[in-house]
Amino acid sequence: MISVLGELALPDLTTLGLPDPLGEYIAIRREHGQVLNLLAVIDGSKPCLDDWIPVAAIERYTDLCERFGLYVRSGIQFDVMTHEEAEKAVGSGTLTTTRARAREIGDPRGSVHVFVGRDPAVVDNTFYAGWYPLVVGERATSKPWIDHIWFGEGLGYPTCCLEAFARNNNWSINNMPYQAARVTRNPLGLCNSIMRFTGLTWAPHLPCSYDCAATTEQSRKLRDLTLRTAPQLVPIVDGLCTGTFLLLSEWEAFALHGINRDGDGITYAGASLVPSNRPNESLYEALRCGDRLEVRDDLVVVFAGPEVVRVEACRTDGFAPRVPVLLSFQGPGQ
Amino acid sequence: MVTQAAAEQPVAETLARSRVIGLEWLRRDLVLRGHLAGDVLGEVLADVGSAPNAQALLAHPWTERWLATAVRLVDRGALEILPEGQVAAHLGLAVNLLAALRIGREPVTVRFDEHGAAWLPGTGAVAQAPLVRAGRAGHFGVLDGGVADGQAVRWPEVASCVELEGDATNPSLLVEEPTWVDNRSAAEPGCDRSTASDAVSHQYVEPITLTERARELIDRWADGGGSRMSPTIDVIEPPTSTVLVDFLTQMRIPVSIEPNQLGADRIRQDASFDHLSLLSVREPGRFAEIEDIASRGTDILSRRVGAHVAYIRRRYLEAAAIYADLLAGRAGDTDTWRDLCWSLRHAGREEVVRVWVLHPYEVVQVAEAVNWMIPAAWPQSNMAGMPGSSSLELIVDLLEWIAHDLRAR
Repeated sequence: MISVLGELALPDLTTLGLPDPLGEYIAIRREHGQVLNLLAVIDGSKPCLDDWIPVAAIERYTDLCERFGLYVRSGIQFDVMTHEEAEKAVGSGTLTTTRARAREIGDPRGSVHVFVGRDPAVVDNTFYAGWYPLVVGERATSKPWIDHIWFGEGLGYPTCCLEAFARNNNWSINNMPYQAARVTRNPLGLCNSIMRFTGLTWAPHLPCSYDCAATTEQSRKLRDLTLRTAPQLVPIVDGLCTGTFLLLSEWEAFALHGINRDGDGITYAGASLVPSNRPNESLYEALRCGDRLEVRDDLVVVFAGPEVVRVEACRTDGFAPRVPVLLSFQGPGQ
Repeated sequence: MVTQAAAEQPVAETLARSRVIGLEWLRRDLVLRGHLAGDVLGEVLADVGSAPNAQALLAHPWTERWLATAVRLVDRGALEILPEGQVAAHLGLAVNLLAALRIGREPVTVRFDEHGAAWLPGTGAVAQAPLVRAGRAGHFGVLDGGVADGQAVRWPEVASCVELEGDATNPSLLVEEPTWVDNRSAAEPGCDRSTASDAVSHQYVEPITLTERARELIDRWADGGGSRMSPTIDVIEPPTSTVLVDFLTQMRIPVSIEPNQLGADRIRQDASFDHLSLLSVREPGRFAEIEDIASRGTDILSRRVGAHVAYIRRRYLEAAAIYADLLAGRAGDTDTWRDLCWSLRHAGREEVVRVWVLHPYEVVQVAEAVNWMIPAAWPQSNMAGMPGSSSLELIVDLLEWIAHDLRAR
């Protein structure tokens, strides 16, 4: 997973002087991880989170959680694979957002998959449903589909969003972010989880729409909590959730900065690449070279001045269908 | 003597007829859905009867690919699920079929693809625009009275009859002789991978040879007093419930489920579990009906569906007991192993099934090779709380024995 590239490149959170446990968590995790979700779980407003903790730091992490009255359940270890390695596995098409090999707990490689919450029964049930399609013996593993719904329930996702997941999250024929965009009237930063792999979005899940009332309420509470306990994070998260995004699929999205609507297209001053495990880096490079784009049905036409520098054709007739949409998200204060 | 051209004529006619049927099927489907491209295809099919270049248009690879993609989009439900994007663009290209039949005779509209090209299949020509017009429409008029009636519209003659857009000395569009390049890329995200995977899925599955670790496990099992006799159970299965088959078929849930196996190129053969899961969320009433019907049967399908339903209803031990019974007859079926282990995982026995998750080859190979009655020296596991399923008890013991043995090495 690459980080955010471009104008929205994230600051080093260890320099922000975050209060404990967030400061220590960042020191342990070395990435942004689940910093906002940890805050919500400690607060009790989120029932459970799952996270990946480096093997060497697992004891320190467990101690940290226990100090805050949290129960930790460790599952399996994730040993991240390259895209090329993952592609060789039988069932690689099911490795949609996580590409890792399963290792036994105690193996020196990888990170421990942990589930954390206040109520051990809730954490255990979330853990049982929270299996990821890891690679074992050159084959991807799978879990029953209903476990996805139970996993979402354990993580506290709104019912309407879980129902939308049941309808739309089929990577073979559908595109869930597109479906969310399709039913959105007024895109809200509080519902914008496009940057969720940074761990720094107010909504951690794929919402049923980008103006979902239940998600807005949850995210508003989390933002208020963050304002009280770690206000340094608020402008960073707001910055990642607001503004204009070019969205193709769960894998491929871009933030555009300094935009102006311009007839059929928009002009922009800069672009950022949204992290995913299969980002479209070549389109990102074209966007960086360009200053204007138009979406024409399946095409993203990128211009630099009068010249076309890229025409990206987005197909929907295969796995992980792509449909380009432009969405402008209002910030929480707007 | 029959010339090659004459010999190819019946083939071309057959191809043309088959393509007309395909276009007509698509037209009817699009009209039923109220899609405007259905009207365009109606005009295409009306012209095909009289246009001199109709057969060449129908036989052209561009037409073949366009039709195949359109059918694929319809079959995938893309017109309803993803009506914008490629669906709008691709069906919008139907105007190029009409333009190919009429260009040089009357004014036409074309649509340019991502390369700025508008193929005019059967004319030997392609309209080429600068990239800035990719995805846009272009228009061509008629010069000098156009192509004579009854004369085929062919490159290069057609070019002299076409009024190009823009300045005469610097036209923004050109009509050129094309070179056909099949530039489909299977590796690109969003490209169809189903064809490739379907082809692979029908390949012969090489039997997996016993892993070294499995061989050692089986030897140690025997050394401890366990039997190497395979657990095959001969039972006369009752006939499959036709009521259940009919109901599942009506709900488009697979009823013919082949056992999956190690070494197969699919991680799952039994899609019915996920279908039932979806149904439980989307149509709870229908799901309850299936639950009721399955509960009345004792055949394999009824029991398998009953187990899936029990899992979805969170009755994990009930599900595990049924899966264990099914495994007793098909110890190599990795799908049932997964379902059994996930039932036990939810029932709080995650530590027991972890050995299958991490060592599936060893577990399945041992399970296929030995009698599950564990060696006499092995202390029986605590199955308190488990329902009285001897198959389930035996499998849990077997899993514990393998896990213990692997830990000890």
